[in-house]
Amino acid sequence: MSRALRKAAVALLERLAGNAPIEDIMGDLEESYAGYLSTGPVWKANLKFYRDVFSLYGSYALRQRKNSRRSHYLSVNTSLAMFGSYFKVALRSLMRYRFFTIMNIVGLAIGMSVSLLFLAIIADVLEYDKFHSNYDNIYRIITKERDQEGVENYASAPHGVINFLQDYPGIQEVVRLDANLYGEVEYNGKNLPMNGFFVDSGFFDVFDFPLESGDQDPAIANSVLITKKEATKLFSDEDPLGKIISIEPHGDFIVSGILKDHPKKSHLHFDLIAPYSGNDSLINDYHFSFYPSYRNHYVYFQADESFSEDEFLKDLNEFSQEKSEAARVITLNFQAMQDMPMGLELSNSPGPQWDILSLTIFAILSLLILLPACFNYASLSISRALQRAREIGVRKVVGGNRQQIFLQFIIESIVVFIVSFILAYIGFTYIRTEFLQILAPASSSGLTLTLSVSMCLIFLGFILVASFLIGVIPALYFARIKPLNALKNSLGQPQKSRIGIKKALMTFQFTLSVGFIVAVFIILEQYQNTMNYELGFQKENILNIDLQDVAPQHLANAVGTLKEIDQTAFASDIIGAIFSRPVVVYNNLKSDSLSTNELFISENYLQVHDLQLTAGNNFRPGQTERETDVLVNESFVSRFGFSDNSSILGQKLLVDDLELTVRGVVKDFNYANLRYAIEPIILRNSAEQFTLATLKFTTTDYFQLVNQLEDVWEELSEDEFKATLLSADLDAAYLWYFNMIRMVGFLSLLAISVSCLGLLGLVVFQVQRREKEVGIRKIHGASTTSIVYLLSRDFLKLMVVGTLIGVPVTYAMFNFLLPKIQYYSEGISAAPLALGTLLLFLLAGATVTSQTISAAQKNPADTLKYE
Amino acid sequence: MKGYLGEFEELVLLTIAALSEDAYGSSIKSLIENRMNRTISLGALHSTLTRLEEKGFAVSKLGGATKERGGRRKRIYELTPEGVSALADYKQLRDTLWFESKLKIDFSDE
Repeated sequence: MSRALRKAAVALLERLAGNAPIEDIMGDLEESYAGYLSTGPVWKANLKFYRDVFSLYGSYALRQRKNSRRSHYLSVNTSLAMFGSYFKVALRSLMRYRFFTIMNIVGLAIGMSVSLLFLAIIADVLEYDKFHSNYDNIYRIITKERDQEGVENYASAPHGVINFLQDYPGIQEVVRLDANLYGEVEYNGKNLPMNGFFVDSGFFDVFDFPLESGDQDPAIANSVLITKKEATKLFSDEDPLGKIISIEPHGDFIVSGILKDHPKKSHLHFDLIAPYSGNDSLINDYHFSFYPSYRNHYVYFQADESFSEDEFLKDLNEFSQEKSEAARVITLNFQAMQDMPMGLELSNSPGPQWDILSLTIFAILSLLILLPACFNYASLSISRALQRAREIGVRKVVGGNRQQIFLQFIIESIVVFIVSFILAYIGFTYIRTEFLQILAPASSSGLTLTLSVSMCLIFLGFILVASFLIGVIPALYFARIKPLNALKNSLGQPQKSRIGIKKALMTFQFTLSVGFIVAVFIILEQYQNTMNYELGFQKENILNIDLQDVAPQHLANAVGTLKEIDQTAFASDIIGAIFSRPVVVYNNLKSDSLSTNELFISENYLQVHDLQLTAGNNFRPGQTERETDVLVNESFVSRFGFSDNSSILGQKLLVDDLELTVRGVVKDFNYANLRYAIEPIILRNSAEQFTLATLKFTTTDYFQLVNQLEDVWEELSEDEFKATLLSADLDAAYLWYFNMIRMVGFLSLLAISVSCLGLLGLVVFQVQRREKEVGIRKIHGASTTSIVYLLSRDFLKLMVVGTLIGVPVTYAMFNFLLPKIQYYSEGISAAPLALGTLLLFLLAGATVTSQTISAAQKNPADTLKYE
Repeated sequence: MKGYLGEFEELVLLTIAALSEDAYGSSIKSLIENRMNRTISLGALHSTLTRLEEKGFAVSKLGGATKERGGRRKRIYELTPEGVSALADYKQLRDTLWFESKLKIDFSDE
C-alpha cells in the first residue's frame, strides 16, 4: 500500500517534469529515502519522503529545468547536424521508393506549373506603372452611364469635369489626355500608322516619361513629341528635331522633341504626344453630354497629402448628380493608378486591362489542379505506411521521439516539393510561351511573365508553406505509429474514415477530369455550330479588296472587264466580323433618338451579299455623291417604334445633320459577329466612306483570280494589293474559340495527368497489398480476367460516381455560361457528353488495367514463396 | 559586492565547498541536516542549487551512479571563482563588523 502510494507520488513528479531532465533529483530522492530508513522508523521515513516529493512538485528547481527544455515544438532536440542527417535519410528513402517519388514529383510539378503561371501573371500585372514617381498619387476619373438600356462603365470622362477638379483642394495637377491623335503619319513620302495623345501641359509633371532630346514643353501650337522607336522608323538617320510631319487628319506638326521609349508595363501606350487643343465649348455645358461625345477623352489628376478620397468621392457624386439628366444618369467615380490595369472592367480603356473575374476563374482553375496533386501526395505517402512502418518502429525503439519522426517526414516532403518546383519551373517556361501565344494581345501590352526577384520570393515562400502544410498530414500520421504494432507488422486495417476520404478525393478528381474533357468537347461543338450558322448574307465566293486611295469607280471599271467577276460593290466595312461604327439617329423632329450602327454601301451591295428587302426599294443608282436615302434593318424598325416594316418607309431621319429618307427595309442579318445580338443598323449610300470593294466571283480558281486582280491593281495604284476572302475574315473573327479550346484543352490535359497519376499510385498500392490474396485465388483456379475485374472494380465504381457528378455539373455550367459568352448559342447535344465520358473511361481504364493485368498474371509461386 | 547571497544560499555554497568532490543533492542535504540539526526539504535545496547556478556561483555536471540511488546519476556541484569571491566578500564583511563591534566571544568552549 505505502509502496504504491510512493510510486504514485513519484510518477506524478515524473509526469510534472515532462521532458525535463530530473534523473539526479530522482536519484537524490531515493538516496535520501534510504538514509531516512537507516536512521528512523519506516513511517517517519515515509513522512520525510512525501515531504521531499511534495516540496519538489511546484519547486523553482523543477520549473527552471522545464523552462530550459521548453522551446518550439519542432526545434526540440534538434541541431544543425540532425538536419543534415534528416536530409540524408530523406534522400535515401526517396530513392528507395523511386516509383512513388517520381509519381509524386511529376504530379506536383504539373500542378505547380499552372500555379506559377497564375502567380507570374499577378506579379506582372502588379508591376504595371510602377515607374511613375507619383504612382501613389495619380488618379483618373471614370464614368458610369445609366439609361433605359443598361449600365456602362467608361474609362473616359466628360469634358465638364475639368471645372470641378481644377479648384478642388488637394489636387495638384489635372491633365487631360485625348487619344484622338492617331492616323497615318507622313514624312518625305513615308507613311506609318501611329497613335498618341493630345495632352495638357502638366502631363510630364504628373507622369514620368523622360525626354531624350529637344523641348518637352513646346510653345508652338502644332508641335509634337515622338518616341525614339517611331522616330528611327520614320526618319532613319536624319535628325527629327524641327522636321515637319503630317498626321492625317490633323494636319502638319513640327517635331519638337524625342521621347525615350516608355516601359512596356505602362497602361498608357503612345507614339506621339501633342499639346491639347480641345473644344472648350463642351466644358461649360450645363449638363454632361453623353458617351460618344467624350470618347477617348481621359482625365487624370495628381493629388497631394491633403487629398481625402472619401470626401472627394462625396463631392464628386454631388457634382455628377447636379450635371446629370433624369433619363440618363452619369455617375463619376475615380480610380487610383494601381487599380487601372486590374480593376473594374471599363469600356474605352486607353490601355490593357485584366478584369478581376477572369483572373479569379483562372486562380480557381489552377487551384483545382494543384490541390488534387497535393492530396495525391498526402494519400500516397500514407499508403506507403505499411512499407515504412518497420523503419519507424525501429527508430522509435532506439529512442526517436515523435517530434523527430515528424521532422523527418516534413523534410522529406520539403525535398519532394523543391524538386517538383524545379521541374514545375521548367514546365512553366514552356507553358509560358504557349500561354503568351494564346493571349496574343498580351505580349504587345507588355505581359512578359519573366521572373523577377519579388516573384522568386513569392514562389519560394509558396513552396515552403505548401510543402509544410501538405507534409503535416502524413508526418503526423507516421509520428503517431506505435512501435510495437509497427514491428509486429500489424498496423491493422487503415481506419474506415481514411479510406472514405481517399475515395472522396479520387472521385473529386474524376469529376474534375471528366468536367474538363466534356468542356473541351462542348466548346468544339459550339464552334462547329457557329461556323455553320446561317448569317443571313452570302459569304461564299466574295473577295474584299482594300481600296486604299484608288477611286471606287476606277476599280469598278478596271475589274469589270474580267469575266470571272460577277459583280462589284463597295462598302465601308467588312460585315460579319468585328463591327463597330456607332452613330446616333434622330427623327426629323429631334424628339426621339437611337444609337445604332451604320454601314456605307453601294446600291448593288445587296445583290452581292444576297440581302433581302422586306419592304420598300433599294437605293436609286448614281446617288452616291449626294446622300438622300437610307435603308434600315428590321431591328431598327421595331426599336425605333414602328409597328410594321412598311410604315417606316418615307420617314425622315437626321443623321450627322443630314436629312435622309427611309427607302427600304432589309431583312435582319448578322453584320457583327455572333457574340452579339442583331442590333439596329442603317445602310447609307455615300461614296466618300467606301474603303473596300466587295467582289462576287464565279471562278473556283482563286489564285488565278488574285493574280489577274493584282495585274489590274498595279495599273491603278503604287500601293500594295490587299485582298482577303470574306470567309477567311469570318474565320478569323472566331479565332477566340480556338484560343479557348487550346486553353481549356491544356488545363484538362493537366488535370487528367494529375488524376491519372494519383489513380496509378492508388492502384499500385492496392495491387501490392493484395498480392498474396491474388496468389491464393489463382491457386484455387481464378482466371486472369476475374482477378483483373476484382482488382479494378473499386476504381470503376469511383469513375462512375465521378462521371455521374461531373457531367451534369459541366452541362449545367455551360448551359448557363454559353449564352453569356456568345449571343448565339445552340443547346448542348449528347455527343460531347458521351465523348468526354468515353475518353475518361479509356484513359483511367488504361491506367488501372496496366497495373492489374500484370498483377493478375504473376506466378503465385513467386508471390507466396515466403508464406 | 556583486550578487545578493541569502543566508541559506551562503550555507549551501559553503557546504558545497566543504564536500569538495562529492557535493550533490543528497550529500549536501544530509550534511546540512546533521550539522545544523534542522531538516530541509529536497525541493527547497534543489531550488536553491538552481538559483546558485543561475547566479553563476556554482556549476554542475552529471557524475557517477550508485546502487542506493537506483542506478541514477548524481549531479555534482562545484564552486565557481565568482562563488568563492562572493563567499570571501561575505566573510570579510562579517569579520570587519565583528572587529568593529568589539564583541568578545570565546570560541574555545564550544
